Amino acid sequence: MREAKIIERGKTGKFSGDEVKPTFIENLRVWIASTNKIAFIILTVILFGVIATAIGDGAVSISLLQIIAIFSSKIGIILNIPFEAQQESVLWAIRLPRVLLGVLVGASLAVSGTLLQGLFRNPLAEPSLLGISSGAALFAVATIVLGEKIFNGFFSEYKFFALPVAAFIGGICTIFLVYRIGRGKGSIDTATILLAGIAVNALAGAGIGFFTFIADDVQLRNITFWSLGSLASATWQSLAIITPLIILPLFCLKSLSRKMNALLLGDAEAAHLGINVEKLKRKIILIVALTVGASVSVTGIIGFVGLVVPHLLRLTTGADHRNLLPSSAILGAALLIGADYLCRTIVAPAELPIGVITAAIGAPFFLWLLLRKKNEY
Amino acid sequence: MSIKAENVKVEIGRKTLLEDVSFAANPGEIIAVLGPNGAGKSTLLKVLTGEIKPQKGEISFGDKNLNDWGFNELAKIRGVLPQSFALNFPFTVSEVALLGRTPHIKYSESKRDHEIALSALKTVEADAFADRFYPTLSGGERQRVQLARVLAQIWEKPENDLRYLLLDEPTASLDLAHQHLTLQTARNFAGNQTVVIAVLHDLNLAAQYADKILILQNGRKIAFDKPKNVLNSGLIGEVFGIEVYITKHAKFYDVPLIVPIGSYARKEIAMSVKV
Repeated sequence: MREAKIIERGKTGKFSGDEVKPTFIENLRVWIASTNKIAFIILTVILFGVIATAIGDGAVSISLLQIIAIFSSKIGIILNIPFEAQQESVLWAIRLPRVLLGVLVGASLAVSGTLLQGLFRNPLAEPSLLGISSGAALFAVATIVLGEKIFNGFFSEYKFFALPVAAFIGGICTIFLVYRIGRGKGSIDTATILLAGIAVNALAGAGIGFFTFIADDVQLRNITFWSLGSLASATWQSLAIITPLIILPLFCLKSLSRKMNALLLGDAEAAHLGINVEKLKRKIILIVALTVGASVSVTGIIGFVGLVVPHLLRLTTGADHRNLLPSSAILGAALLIGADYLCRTIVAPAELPIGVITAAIGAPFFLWLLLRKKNEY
Repeated sequence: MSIKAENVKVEIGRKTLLEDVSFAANPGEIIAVLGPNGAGKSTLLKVLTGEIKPQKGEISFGDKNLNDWGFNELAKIRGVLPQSFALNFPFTVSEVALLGRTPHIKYSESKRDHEIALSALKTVEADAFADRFYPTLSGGERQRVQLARVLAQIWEKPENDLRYLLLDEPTASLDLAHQHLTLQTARNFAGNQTVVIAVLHDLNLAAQYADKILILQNGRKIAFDKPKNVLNSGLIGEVFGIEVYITKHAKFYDVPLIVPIGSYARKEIAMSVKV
């Protein structure tokens, strides 16, 4: 056997490439990593700040102390802080379910965006890209327009359930359709699944256009409101339906996150690192279908949350999914509640659809991403 | 405890990519796989990694057939360096190296894993930019970082001492010093009971570092022997279509030194132009 002959380099025998100094962002990343969880603490503080503002402010104003007093009175502790019965009912029946819905939907959209970007190794992926959102919307719009004709009087009693259930089924159907097409023979091909998503999006768009065309005036208002998204339909009942569908999949993330990191290297590379890639992909797709389907069923299409949140976090807290997934959930929740708060306050007493705000923030962001140098995050 | 390939045949559609290829690579050996473009070098490597299932033939690692190895079991002792590195997410260099430890980590990485990742980066001289974002690196730097990741994966000797290192064109975008550093590193691993198989293009690198050379042409094995027995002007001319002059390395006397003179294809082109 030949011996390795290591050539000694001079002390200055470094290469020019080695001398490039880390950029500001790179240094920031290293600092954040070294401060151990500071990003989580900051994000959590932001989330609770946004929640307190969203619960407290509006047509009926409730101070932070009063919020605490109302909560503690619910569990039997009466604090010496006065609040009115109207404040209590507004908090309990309107603001709290709405904020909780915002937490669930924001978290699931942001986490789904992160998962899809990892799955496709494409930083421009987003839940609506796969066609899940528009698939769900198609089923919902079909229900709005055709529902009363099909079910006649019977339908109106179950209208409350029909819309979310239809949207949910539509979302699930779409993602399985895209998944089936993309899967081909055995392995999931990223490019095919993306193109399948585009095709399904276009098809669902055509369907929605058709139903919009044949809809009457009342239905049209419903469709418009629903397709731009809103948290206004939040009730304890709708929360009860979607909470398990969102919370349970999110609990599976912890075991997936390290494998997600390896998946970013490539399918073959992840397999070489000992990961069952097909199984991992199936899990990711199922989690996204469940959480996004459940979210869209209550709030309609809310775009760009899943795009913006992971990008902001990757540049600061890093691309490691063990940090990225939980922090996406927190920031997604904060962002959506913040956007919803703007919606109902800037044109009060009227309300803007939330999709208007998220698109106004998200679309320029998307363009900025596109116009940046190719292949850079 | 070697890597064995027996009568491997791969067909995609009507095209035969590999036909009846057999060889064995033993611990301590570096096997260089050579051949012109499209000869089936990468296909052979993908068959060895399990990415491509051969229509015919058997692959075994140690005493077990490739299909009988568990996902994670083999990943602990077998590192694979791919040809392209499609990572465009802002991982830092040290995070990428740490990804190599994936098969060994159950919950979260230990201090030891961090040490190994850093040592691997030092080995390929990438520790100086450990905190930089991977997507901002040059092609050669990326390649070194990926090599560090693969080395970190099989850094520690397992109980039975056996490790496997499969490299697909590990020197493709490296400068001269790092080409040699890479193969010296492979040499060191081979010296520690690792089976190394590397697809190479540079005949002289193969001559200097490989114990055996496997030459493929149109999916068939043309030769499999020690460098000095394989690298002769007749065979090189036939397989690569290039006229070479073979002399001896000035320092290592048993190493043949291949001096290219010119492509045979060029000559024909030049002649046809004249006519």
